[in-house]
Order: sequence, then structure tokens, then C-alpha cells
Amino acid sequence: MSNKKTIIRFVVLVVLLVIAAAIVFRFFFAEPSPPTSKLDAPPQELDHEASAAITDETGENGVVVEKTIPKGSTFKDTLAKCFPHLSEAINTPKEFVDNWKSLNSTAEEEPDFIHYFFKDKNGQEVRAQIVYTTAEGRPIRELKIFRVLEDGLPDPVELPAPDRYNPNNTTLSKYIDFSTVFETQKKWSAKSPGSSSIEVEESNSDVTEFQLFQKNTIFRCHEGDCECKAGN
Amino acid sequence: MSFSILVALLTLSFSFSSQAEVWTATAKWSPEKEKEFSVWVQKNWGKDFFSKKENKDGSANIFQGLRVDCADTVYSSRVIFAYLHSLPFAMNDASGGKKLITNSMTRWDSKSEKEKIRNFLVYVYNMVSTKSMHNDTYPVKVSRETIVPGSIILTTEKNHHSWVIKNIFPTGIPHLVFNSTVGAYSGPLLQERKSWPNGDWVFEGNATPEGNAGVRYWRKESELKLPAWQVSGYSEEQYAIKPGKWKYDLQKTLQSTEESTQQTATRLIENICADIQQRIDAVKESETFLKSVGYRCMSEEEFDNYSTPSRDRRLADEIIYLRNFLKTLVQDRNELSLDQKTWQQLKIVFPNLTETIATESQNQKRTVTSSSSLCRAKHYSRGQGIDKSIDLAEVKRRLFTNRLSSNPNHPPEVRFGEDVNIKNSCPSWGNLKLSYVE
Repeated sequence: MSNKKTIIRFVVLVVLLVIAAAIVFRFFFAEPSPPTSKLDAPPQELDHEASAAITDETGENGVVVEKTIPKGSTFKDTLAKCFPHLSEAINTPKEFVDNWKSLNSTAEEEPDFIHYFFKDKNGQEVRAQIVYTTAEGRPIRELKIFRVLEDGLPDPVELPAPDRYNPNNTTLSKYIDFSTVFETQKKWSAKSPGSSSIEVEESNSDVTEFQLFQKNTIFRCHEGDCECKAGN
Repeated sequence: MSFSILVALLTLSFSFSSQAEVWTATAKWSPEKEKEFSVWVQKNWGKDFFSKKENKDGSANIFQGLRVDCADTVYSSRVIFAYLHSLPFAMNDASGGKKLITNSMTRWDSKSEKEKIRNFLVYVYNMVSTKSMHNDTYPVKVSRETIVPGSIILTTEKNHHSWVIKNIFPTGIPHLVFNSTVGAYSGPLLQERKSWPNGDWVFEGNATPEGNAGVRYWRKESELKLPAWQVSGYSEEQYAIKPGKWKYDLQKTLQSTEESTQQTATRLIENICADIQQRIDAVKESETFLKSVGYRCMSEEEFDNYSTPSRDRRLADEIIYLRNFLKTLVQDRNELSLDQKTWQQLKIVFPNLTETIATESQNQKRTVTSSSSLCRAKHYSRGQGIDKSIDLAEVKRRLFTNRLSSNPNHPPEVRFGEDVNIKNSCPSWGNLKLSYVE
């Protein structure tokens, strides 16, 4: 009986030791897992005809797990509902936005933000954010710089105030290595003199999201998943 | 012996690994937890949240001394509740990264628990702004179920301001907690008001869903990467309301009992008094700063932080709102519904309701503060080195005769409209002229 007990204890001890060794190894010897960043990701290519990829869960350490859920409303179908006369000629959100711009050539693009993702001399990822805002009615451009640390998350870099507000090109070049920029994100909006306005988000000049408000109609898409809302 | 030591070692290893996070989320968000959040905000969120030394139960307030602006105040309510209730917290990375910022961050794993949460909050403060807030929240339907304590109000980018809804009174009036940029510099005390902000101001410049203004609520973690219009509960109902009617529609929908005219008058006066006191504090902060830099001219950024044109416009709006309320009472021959004292006090502030507010103020005599004055307060005079008394009637007279100055390079007495000649050659930015709609 006592022999049996000793054997069970021994087996339990061995199992626990293996677990302990694995934990110790993970904490003290294992290579840190590579940060999840744009650097590791393949270049983004949007397939607007494909089923929409929507985010519906978050994995370990907040990494977004993308899950493809079939959606009925692709760009072409939704465009046909909202603007049937355009559905033959226009195939992508980018073409739709370009078409709106050409029809509303007097509408001025109002930038919301521009993000530059680039690498510094040491190959470390850096993000520059130019935020367009207003202070007491006057427009202001604010520059923010973030170093991306090993955890894949940004770390704000403090900038002197004169460099931060309304930076000129020389100042921007001081902080942004434009030759190593691998992604540019941009958000802008525009209003036509009529009753049409558009808000657009772009990544490397491709349209990732837009919302068009025209009279009682709203036409919008996010990474290929679109919606047409037509009011009375 | 070896068995128990090993078990202890293993326990230690596991606890070591879990301590690496800012906090470990052992619970999950659910409709019940959202209700708990709402109750918690109602009971605990207040202007002294970051200034009090102790909590109600006598424990030390580990958040004491944190300095927050309006967006930080909003995010703090959600982060701190999640931390205190072992719930996960996640928000979008405003720098454009795909990864979420969560309580699982391990940057501060060598710090104590208190330092970890404080460092995480400061990190969040450095990342967020009113500009990023719409990505973590969504506009809600106008109903008692969806506009609750814990909801937030966001303005369009033009006015970049935000509030936490601490409570909704049975009368449909909210109790709001917020802070300003100057507030973040000045001290850990937050600000409060008991009224809806003016819809024309909240939606200024863009009253469509694109403007992201109005009452909003926190997104589920699983919906953070979706565009707002795909988030469950998303509603464009608020954008169908004319901005000028927005606050009245919200109040009407949310009220379960009518507010009496006396209650309305008392509340509006309270709000104005709080606004005047906040202006006095803001001007004091500006003066303290100027003193610390030897009264040199302010830089553009400093000027933005310490000037008060938006604050002055809000004060003007509140005073006009009270005056219009009074005008309606008189038109309806309902002034007797106010108590005699309040009516007499308001007659001193608004002596001629048939005129425009500007004409009324031009013809108004300077009032001397007395025991029956509304909103008695003291503002500082640099020239005389003393505090000077002022009341609502006098603030109103000076505000609508363009005597108040929102220029932070001016001495406090000039900012409060004392008749003092000053030479000011400092540069000025933006339009400081008071604009209002009667």
C-alpha cells in the first residue's frame, strides 16, 4: 500500500518537475516572441469582391484574430442598390471615391490624420502621426511620434512644443525617414457644395473605409463589407 | 517535504507569470457587468475621484493625484472600473497599429500593483484624445435603456470636448463629470455640471454621423475593430434631431417626472455659478503660470491651454438659457411659480427681458455684491494684490458688454472686466471674440 503511494507520489513529482522546467525555460531562456507588427505582415491587399473579414474576437495579448464571416453585401451588390447607374462602371471603393472626387472637383479635401509607419536606423518600427485639428477655430497640425516596442505597441516620444505644432517639412524630415515608410494611413473628408459629403480612410492609397452621405442616402463600406441606407 | 516545496515553487511561478500583466482579468463583460459599471459610476465617479485621500471604505485611494483632461477622465472611468472588478479593458491603438491596448500589457511587470495601474493609466492618457474616442465607443439610441450612467458625451472635432454621464435624474437632466485641458494642469479636482450641453455646440460643424458627436457608449472588445455603424446597438437617431432641439428631446425621453419651474431655475443658477467658479479657477491657474515664467508672453501652445473663449461661450450660453427660461415664464404669466426670493434675485440679473441681452446689459448699472447676490465669488486682482467680489449680475453685465477678456496674457482683473488700462503687446491666436445666439 505504502509502495503504491510512493509510486503515485513519484509520478506526480515527475510530472510537476517537467511543468516547472518548462515554465523556468520559458521565462529565462526562451527567445521573446516576435512582436506583431506591420513589419511582419505581408503587404495588405484588399479583395473587395471577397467575403468581408470582420473582427469578432481578440486573441492572446490583444492581437486581433480576424475571422471571415460570409456577408451578403459586397461592394458591387450594395452599390447597385444605392447607385444603380454606377454599378456597371465602378468596381472598387477606390474607383467610387475617385468618381465622387471627379464629380465634386470643387470639394476641398479636409485631412483628419496621416500616419506614417517607417523604420529607424536600427530597424525599429516608428510611427508618425500628423493630426489635423482646430484650436479656437484655427487649424492646427500636431505631430506625434511613437516608437513601437517589442510588445508591438507604441510608446509615445516627447517632442518639443515648437516641433509638435504646425511642423514644417524640415521638422517632419527630422523625425520621419520617408525613405523607409512602408505604410501610409490617411483619413480625410470632403463636402460638396450640394448635399453630399464623404469620409474616407486609406492605407497606401487604397480605400479601406468610406462613408458617403448624400441627401437621405448613406453608402458606406469597411474593408469590402458595405451598407446602403436610403431614407425617405 | 520535497513535494510541498515543489508545489509552493510552482504556485510562485504561476503567480509570477500572472503578475506580469497590469491586472489579470478573471471576469468577463456581460449585460450584468455593464449594469454594475453604471451603478459604480453613479456612486463613485465625482469631482473628487482623483483628489480624495481615501475611499468610502477607508482604504487609500491609489488614484490620488493623477492629472487628467476631458478625454482622460472619460477613459479613466472605464479603465478603473475594469481594474477594480477584474474585467478586461481594451481600446484601439490611436497610433494606427492593429493591436489592441489592453490590461495584458507587461511593460510594468517589475512595478508594484499600484504603480502598474497608475503607469497604465498614464500610458492610456498619452494615447487617447477626443479624436480617438469614437473608435472605442458608438452612438446610442435615445432611450432610458441606452443613455445611462457611464455613457459619455462627445462633441464634434471643432469643440473637442467630452463628459462622463454620472447620473440621469428623474427629470431627464444629467449629472456630468468632466475636466478641461487647464484642469489637467491645475490639479486633480474634476468638474461637474447638471445639464445637457448645448446641442448647437456639441454638434457644431457636423451634425451627421460622420461628426461622431452625441451620447455614446463603450464598444465590446470584439467590436473594437469594426466601423461604428457595424457595432451592435449603433444608432443614428441622435443625428435625426436638430442640434438646437437635441437636449430637449433627450430630456423629454429620459424624464420620468416633470421638473418644476423652481427646480429648473435652481439647477440653471447652480450650473452658472459652477461655470463662474471654474472660470475664476482657470484664470488663477493662468496667473500662477504667468508668475512662474516672469510674466513673459505665452507661446501658442500655452495660449491655447490658458485662453477661455470656449468656456466664455458656454457661460454665455448658460446665461442666455436661464434668461430665455425666465422670458417664457413671464410670457406665460407663470413667474409666480418661482419663489419670491429667486424671482427678485433674477430680476437684478435680467432687469429688462424685452430687450436683447446686449442692450439690456449696456443699460444695466454696475451691481455691488451683497448677501442676496446670486453666485457670489471672488476673483484676483494682480494690480491691487487682493481678491475682488463679483456676482452673477455683474459677470453677466460685463460678459455681454464684451468687457471680459479670454486672452491669457491679460492680468486677472482685465480678464474679469475691471476698467483697467493695460498695454499688451503679446501675440494672440485665434478668434477671441464672444459669439452667441440668443
